[in-house]
Amino acid sequence: MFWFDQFVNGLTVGSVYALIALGYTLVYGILQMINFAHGEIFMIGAFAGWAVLLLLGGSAIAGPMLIVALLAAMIAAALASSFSAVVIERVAYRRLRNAPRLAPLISAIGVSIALQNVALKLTGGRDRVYPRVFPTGEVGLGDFSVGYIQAFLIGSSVVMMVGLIVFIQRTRTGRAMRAVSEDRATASLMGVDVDRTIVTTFIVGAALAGVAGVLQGLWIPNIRGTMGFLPGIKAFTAAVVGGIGSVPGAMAGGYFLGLSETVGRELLNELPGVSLPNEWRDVIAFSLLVIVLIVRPTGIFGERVSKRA
Amino acid sequence: MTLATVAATTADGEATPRLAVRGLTMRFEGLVALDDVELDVAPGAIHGLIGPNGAGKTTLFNVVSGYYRPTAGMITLDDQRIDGLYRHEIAESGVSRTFQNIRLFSAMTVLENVLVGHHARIGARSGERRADARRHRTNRVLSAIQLLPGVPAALTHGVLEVAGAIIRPPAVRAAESEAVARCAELLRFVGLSGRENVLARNLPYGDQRRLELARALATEPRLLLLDEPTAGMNPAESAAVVQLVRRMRDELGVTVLLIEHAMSVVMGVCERITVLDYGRKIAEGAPREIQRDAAVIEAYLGSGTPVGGEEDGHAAPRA
Repeated sequence: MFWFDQFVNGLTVGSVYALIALGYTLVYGILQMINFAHGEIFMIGAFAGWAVLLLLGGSAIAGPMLIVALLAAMIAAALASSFSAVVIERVAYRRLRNAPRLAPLISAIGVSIALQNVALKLTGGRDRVYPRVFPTGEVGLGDFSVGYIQAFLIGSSVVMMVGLIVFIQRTRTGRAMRAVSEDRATASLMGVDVDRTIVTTFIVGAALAGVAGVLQGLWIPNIRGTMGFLPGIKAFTAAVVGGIGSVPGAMAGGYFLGLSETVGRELLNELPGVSLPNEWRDVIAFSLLVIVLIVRPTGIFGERVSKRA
Repeated sequence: MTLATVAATTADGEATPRLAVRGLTMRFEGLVALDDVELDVAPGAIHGLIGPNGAGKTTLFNVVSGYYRPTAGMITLDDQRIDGLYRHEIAESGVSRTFQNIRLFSAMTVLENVLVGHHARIGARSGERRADARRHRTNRVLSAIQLLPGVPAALTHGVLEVAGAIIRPPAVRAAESEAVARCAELLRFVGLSGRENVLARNLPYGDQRRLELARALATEPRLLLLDEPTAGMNPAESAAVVQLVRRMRDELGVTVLLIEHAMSVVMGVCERITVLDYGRKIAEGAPREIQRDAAVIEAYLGSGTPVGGEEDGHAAPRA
């Protein structure tokens, strides 16, 4: 059914946005900084997952091996992305932690452009293609059915997001992250290693983005050095729409943006005289960003953005 | 430790001071907040720090706890040098504090606040000190590159930490439940039992002060710096806090250095008092001596010109 399919497409895109948006919001929450290199972290994850899938047999992967291969690809992506994030934090951000806020932002944009170009250089500017490992087919009933890949993508994203919430709310490390994001100085005076907590935050955000890279690669097989740019900006938009710094906000913002681009666009098409083909999705997404920034700059869930005087 | 033994070790002067401050100077652009301050706090003491507004009391706390790095001087805790360490390392060595204007994690629950204080004591710690911290700070150009060799260790540590939190092996679970039990015990100690799951920001003012005490105790301090623990309290509440401070020393063995404006509190609970004025130490002694000290009387009643501005930005109402 058309509308159901649009809805599922929205959830699929939204899942990817949400996973990436979480990295923006986590880092923002703890450092009040927009890590614009985060889209490239996503790209690195996509490449790492692709490499692992090829190593494990590429499109020959089937049966029980598929589960192993997918897990291996996602873990490798999470590790590669985390590694990159830790290096970036050390090289480009840590020394600028007390600099004017524009400085780390510019540094992040620089890192982003540099990584894109390194990736383009290494791949000779040509696309790489994910092996088609997923059996084609759908789960569901009649009109209400979802392709395996999309079901897998949405399902794994939800699992990871639930895991993240539990992690933040229930564990020692999550507690430290919340304490540092609320009051860095006091947290350090109470014995929390702030540097270490910040590194952990980057690792968590990067791991989510890395896995998102693999999930997207399984869904849309072509990957390239510049693939992180647009999803990165979109996810940033999602984080702002949800309320940057807010974890549930990033999730809600991701899905809201994904559904706006699909279901929302088609709903607009129902209006007389309106015809917005798929290419309009970016216009819709960024118009939303502008509207939110004007109407409610703190986003859906945001309230503590400028809590600190 | 009883009062008598404290008095004995203080008097014969042979015990290593819990806290020793030597030649401590703290300058902020053009302003000398602390000027060559010397201070010894005996183990097991309840030591008072008083002085007019802007005398440098809170600045001294900020320097000892690592919030500021001193311009000059040396600070030791049981003969171990702590100045120049990272803040969390100072906390780990055994210095904790409360704040003049309450600084709780307001969006977290009462229990979570105490658990944050207990953070460094939960589970196994690597215990590695980053002795290279100072070296990194000195070379700005190379500093980012110098940080790179730390990547594998930081990544490994972070990944293990996250993995441990997700998989929750028995050791992690045991450490966590032990921590929760310990923190609940501390909440009982300060009289906040039953409020564990209230958000800190929803606590009444007096309870917020008590929560700060519990959080500070959760770091397992040897030295506890209390910045006006009875500020804004009525006489009954303040008497209860004084009682609590005594019990911290007697039952938990914590050495206390406290800033207080209420003279009845200072004179009642402290065995020894240090007086600061304009960043200098002007007197030190037993409460009775301090009350009669000419320089102290002069500082409090004499010139009457307030010294402005430095105490970490917040002026305290004079009690």
